[in-house]
Parts: sequence; C-alpha cells; structure tokens
Amino acid sequence: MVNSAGQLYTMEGIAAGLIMLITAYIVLGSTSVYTPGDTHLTDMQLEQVGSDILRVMNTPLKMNNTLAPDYQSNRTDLELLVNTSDSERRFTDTFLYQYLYNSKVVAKETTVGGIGIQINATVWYRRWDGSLFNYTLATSPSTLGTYTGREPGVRVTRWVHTDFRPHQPSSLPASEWTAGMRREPQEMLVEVVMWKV
Amino acid sequence: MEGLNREGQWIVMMGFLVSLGIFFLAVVISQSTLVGQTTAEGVLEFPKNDIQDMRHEILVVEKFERDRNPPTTAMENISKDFATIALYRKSAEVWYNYSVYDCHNGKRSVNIHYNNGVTVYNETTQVYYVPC
Repeated sequence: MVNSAGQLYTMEGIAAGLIMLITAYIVLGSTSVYTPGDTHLTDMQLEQVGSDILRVMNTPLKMNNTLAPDYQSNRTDLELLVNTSDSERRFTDTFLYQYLYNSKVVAKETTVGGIGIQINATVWYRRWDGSLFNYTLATSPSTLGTYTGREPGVRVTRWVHTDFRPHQPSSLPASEWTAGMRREPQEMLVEVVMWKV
Repeated sequence: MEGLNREGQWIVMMGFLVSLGIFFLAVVISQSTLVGQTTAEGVLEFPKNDIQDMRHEILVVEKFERDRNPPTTAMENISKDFATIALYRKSAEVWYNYSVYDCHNGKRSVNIHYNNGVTVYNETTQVYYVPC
C-alpha cells in the first residue's frame, strides 16, 4: 500500500488536467469562421431599405379621398411610373435620388459623388398567350461606377396593379407592345436588383 | 488526506466552483454566435414583405373589381397573373378564391394562399362595403 498522503495532489492534478482539456475544447469549438457565404446577413438591411422604398412608391397618392372616389384618383407613384413615357428617368429619380440616397443606410457609408449602390429594375408581365415577358424599367447611371462582381446583389420586388396596358416602354419593341401585352387590367411585378459597388 | 492541513480545503473547493462557473459562461458565449446567425437567417428567410405585398395587392384588385361599373371579372383574370409571375419570379405558389360580389350583401370573403416551400400562409378575410 502506498502512502496515502499524496491522494489530494493526485486528484488535484487530474482535475487541473480535465479543466485544461475542457478549456481547450471550448476555445477551439467557439471559433466561428466568417465565410463569404455568410455575407448575405449584412445585405438584409439593404434589402429592407429597397423593399421599403418600393412600398412607399406603391402607396396610393390620395387615400380615402371622398372628393375623388373613383379608382383613378387612388393610383400610386409606381403605377403612374409604368404608365408614363418617361418612366426610366422618373423611376431612377424617385428610387435612387429621392429615397435611397436620402436614407441613413447609404448616407453613412458613402460620400457625395461616390454613391456606391446601383440598381437595375425590370418589369415582368403575363402576355396574351400566358407566357412571361419582361422589359427593363430603369438602370442606374453609369457615372455611379462599374460593377465589380465582388459584392452580392439583393432583389426586391413589388406587385403593381395597372388599369390598362402600360405606356410603351423605351426598351420594349413596338411589336411586342402591340401584340404581346394585354389590353386589360393586370398585375405586373416590378423587380429591382440592388448591389454595392 | 489525514496528514494534510484541513484549512486548505476551502481554497480548493472555491477554485473548483469558480472554474465551473467560468465554464458555463464560456459555453454560453460559444453558442451565442451560432444562435445569432440562425436567428438572422430565420428573419431573412421569412417572406414578410412578399406576403404583405401580395395581400395588399389582392385587396386592391378586389376593390378595383367592386368599384368598376359595369362589373368586371378582374379578380378571375388577375389570379392567373399572380399565379404565373409568383411561380416563376418568386418561387411561390399564390392563389386565392373569393365569394361572388353581390352589392346587397355588404360583405364579401376572400381566401388568400401563399406557399413558397418553407413558409405557408393562409388567410380568410372579410371585406365590408356599403350595401346598395
């Protein structure tokens, strides 16, 4: 039988060893690598801002106006935009300059003259034969920079109700506008891709 | 054990207790990044804006059909727009049905369905209007 006086030291040694092992295990297990695949988490804010802008643009200009009960008076900015001949410039003006560049998200990380967010807006609609077709509503001016390909883009969408066939867009051939688009009330989807440069 | 001074036992025991406490805190911290990421992804994945937008737009169409004189079948025509475009561009099934508009009733029900494979949303809503 060995001397029993060393038992406490042995137990303490084993306990210390266990503590060190568990510490190393926790430290190694808690390191999380921020991979490029996780960057979409930071895009959530941009997506929300874009979605909010489209929502504001799609709010009826005169809500519950008893003086103008007709549906025509309850049109929204977005609906009016797809029904005007100058839709590209007006969409860019409204979406980029009026709303996006005034929002806090952009103001914080960009400087005047070096705006870092670009957009590309398309409109999707259903043709007479039931197939889908789209045309470009607006693209951001090229003076804002070029696409680097590094930053991921986010996509925000908004349904738009239109009373009638929209005004012929500049990016759509007259034949498609005449033959493809429906001449009746319909729903279209405005789709905006936003990305940082 | 008997040979040792018993006074040191408190020090050893408190050492163990403190180290155990630190372990619990370490486990909580090591889990926090994972929990934060999962939560953020859950928020991202939930199509809140899509559902609100679709719902709003369907009710706009309902009002449009009701206000039109002479009456139209806008809701029936436009349901194909919703179904087709949502399926191709939003990867979501969207469809709705509704009771026939009768201006004497004063109300009308609309059933809205949304399914993008992860989130399923069903709604039955009553639209009230002044009866004729």
